[in-house]
Amino acid sequence: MMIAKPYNAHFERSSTGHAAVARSCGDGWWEEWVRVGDREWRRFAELALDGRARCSAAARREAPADPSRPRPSAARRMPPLLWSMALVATLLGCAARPAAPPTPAPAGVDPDVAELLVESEQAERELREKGLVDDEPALQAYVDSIGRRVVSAGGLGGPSYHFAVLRDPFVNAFAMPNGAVYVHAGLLARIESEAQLAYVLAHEAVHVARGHSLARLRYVRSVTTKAKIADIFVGALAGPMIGLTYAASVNGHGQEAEAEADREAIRMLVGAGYRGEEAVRTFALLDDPGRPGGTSAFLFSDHPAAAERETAARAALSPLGGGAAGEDGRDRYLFASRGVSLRTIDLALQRQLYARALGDAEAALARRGADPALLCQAGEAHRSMAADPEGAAREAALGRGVRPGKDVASLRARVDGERAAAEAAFRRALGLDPSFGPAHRGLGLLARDRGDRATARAELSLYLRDAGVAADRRAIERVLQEVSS
Amino acid sequence: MKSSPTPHLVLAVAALASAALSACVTTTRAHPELEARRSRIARAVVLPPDVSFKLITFEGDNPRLAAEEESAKRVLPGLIASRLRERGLTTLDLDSAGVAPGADVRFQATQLQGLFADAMGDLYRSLQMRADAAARVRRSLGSQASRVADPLGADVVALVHVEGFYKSGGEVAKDMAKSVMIGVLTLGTAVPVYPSKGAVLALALVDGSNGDVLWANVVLSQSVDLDAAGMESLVAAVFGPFPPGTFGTAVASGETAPPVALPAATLPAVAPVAPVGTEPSSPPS
Repeated sequence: MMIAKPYNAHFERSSTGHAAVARSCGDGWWEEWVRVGDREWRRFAELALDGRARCSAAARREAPADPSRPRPSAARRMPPLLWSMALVATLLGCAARPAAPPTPAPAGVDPDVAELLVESEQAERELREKGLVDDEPALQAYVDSIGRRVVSAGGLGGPSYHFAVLRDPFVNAFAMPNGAVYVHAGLLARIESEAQLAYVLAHEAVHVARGHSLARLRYVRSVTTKAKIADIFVGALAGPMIGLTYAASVNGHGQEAEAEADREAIRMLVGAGYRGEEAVRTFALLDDPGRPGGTSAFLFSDHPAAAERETAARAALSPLGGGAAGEDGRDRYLFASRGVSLRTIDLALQRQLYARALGDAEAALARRGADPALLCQAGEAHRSMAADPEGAAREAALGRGVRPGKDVASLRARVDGERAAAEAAFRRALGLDPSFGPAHRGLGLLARDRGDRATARAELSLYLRDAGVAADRRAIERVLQEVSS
Repeated sequence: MKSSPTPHLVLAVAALASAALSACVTTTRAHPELEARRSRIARAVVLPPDVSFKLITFEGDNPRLAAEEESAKRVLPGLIASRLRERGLTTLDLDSAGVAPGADVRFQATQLQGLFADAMGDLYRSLQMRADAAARVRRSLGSQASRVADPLGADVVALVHVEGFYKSGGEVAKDMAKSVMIGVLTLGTAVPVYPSKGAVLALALVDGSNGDVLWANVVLSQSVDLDAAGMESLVAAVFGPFPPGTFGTAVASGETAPPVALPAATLPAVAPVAPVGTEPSSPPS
């Protein structure tokens, strides 16, 4: 079909008792579907072959054209030759693609908005099913309360806002059109104060309130249509140029929305009683070159550069008194985020992101002071880099978008240094708390890596003695068995 | 002047070279200790598949095909478990009895799937690999595998990732128009044919104790539908080249599986398909 998004749809009962939906996409373009099972739909084009054409023909007559169509049809801009091809291709495609139609929008709701809301709900459901939403009630309540405070101060309208933490070690945050705002654990681990968290949440809430997702969807459609038409006629000669122009156009549009969200969020931050200057510091924290897939895959990819945003933020703060007044909530934030800070470093270690884990552990140690758990995580990051130089090289190459090659050799040369640093961290943790089990586990695994089986047995036995039903008990028992054989 | 070889001779040589090359390469990756470890592998947990199906539209919003995704998520674990049982394994899933309360296995499985996606990106920078090199591939997902396998008492973890697409009529028409334009520009010497649908399925069996990828394969198809029958044919194809023998028992020394050619329907027909994890089609192609 030329246009995937119907702007008009209605149901009726067919002569065979099946529910049917007819969708008008404007410009005389039609498609009809008939339900043939609980979840299964078939296109009219298929069913017409077996004599059920009457229902769809009736729908074609009755369905009115929609005069309030929000945008000109892409199809209207199509050349006649393409139109003919589209007709043929659609008939061919219909037979080969038994896909269910999107749920029609309720009366009075823009179908694009309805579609975005459905997608948001689906995405949230999947996040929960995959266990990706942090389940620490105190942290969730804290983040949600900060989000509601700035939304209330900003007088934002729109959907019901809710704020939550995603169990992901990367620095990011995102909003969905249904009012859901998610902040990654990796961002919480970097943020230094409640005011900075408030700024991030306010920024995301502005995206929701101003309908940036919808605007982006429509803009992307518009430029994609133009790019694809250009691709047909000059793609063979200038394909890369079209691609670059397309990307620049989409990202340029994104930057305008980001600038608007920055300005609004500063107003909300100050209005909620927070120190506006904290917003300026936030931009530096958001820089995360180690994100997989390059910057284009994540929220801040199409944001203006950090320096540009800082300048704009200072300009926005100027009429608000400069942003020096208000609270930063630093102590409250440090207290509320200790658990998530530890969990984030664990997440990074699980994902074989050793340098990230080490950086986060060192930053947390600098901020919170000596802590056996943080020291053990730093030690584990050092030990992992020594034990898995290929993994460390992959991580190093991740942000640079290059293949891990020569890094492996340089990392192998650093094995002894990493092991020494790991041992120092584990022993420092034991100095703070001699019964701290994870430090014994770390020393045991380190001894195993070095081939010192006696020390490995002793340290791992100490760990298991107090480990109870630790999640890694069976894995450590296997290592103990290995060094005892 | 020396005459050039006839086109027929060139074609024949190319066909022979192609046939010889295809006999030496494979899409599988195997750990060198796969056979040695077989005897201690008895229980496999099949993780919920990671599925992403999209409708590629002319306007570029490319909506998800949610119904097809749900269907694939329902049928794939059973299909894979069935193939593993044929090879002597007892199969489990995340809901199997015996999982410790609060073990958070589902989240740990999601983490492992993330590592699996990264690993497949590394292992399949090029789809085909010489068979001798493909039998000596070492790649580990690390200790995260044991966080999933241990609570379930599994020896091996089966991970699956599927991506697929249909194209809308408008997109197909765009492809056709582009083919015509290129055909006209090249005076008919080159007329590309673009697929209107496609799917790629990647599967890996990972050692539950240390995360080593024991065996992996990727199949691509531009002919299957994104329905149960399509998933069945992809699973059959992905297990096609699996080495003979059953788990829980050692294979006779020196017995190795010959490289098995994929069914024609599962080979890319037009162009090399992007590595796992990339979009099947970006807006301006």
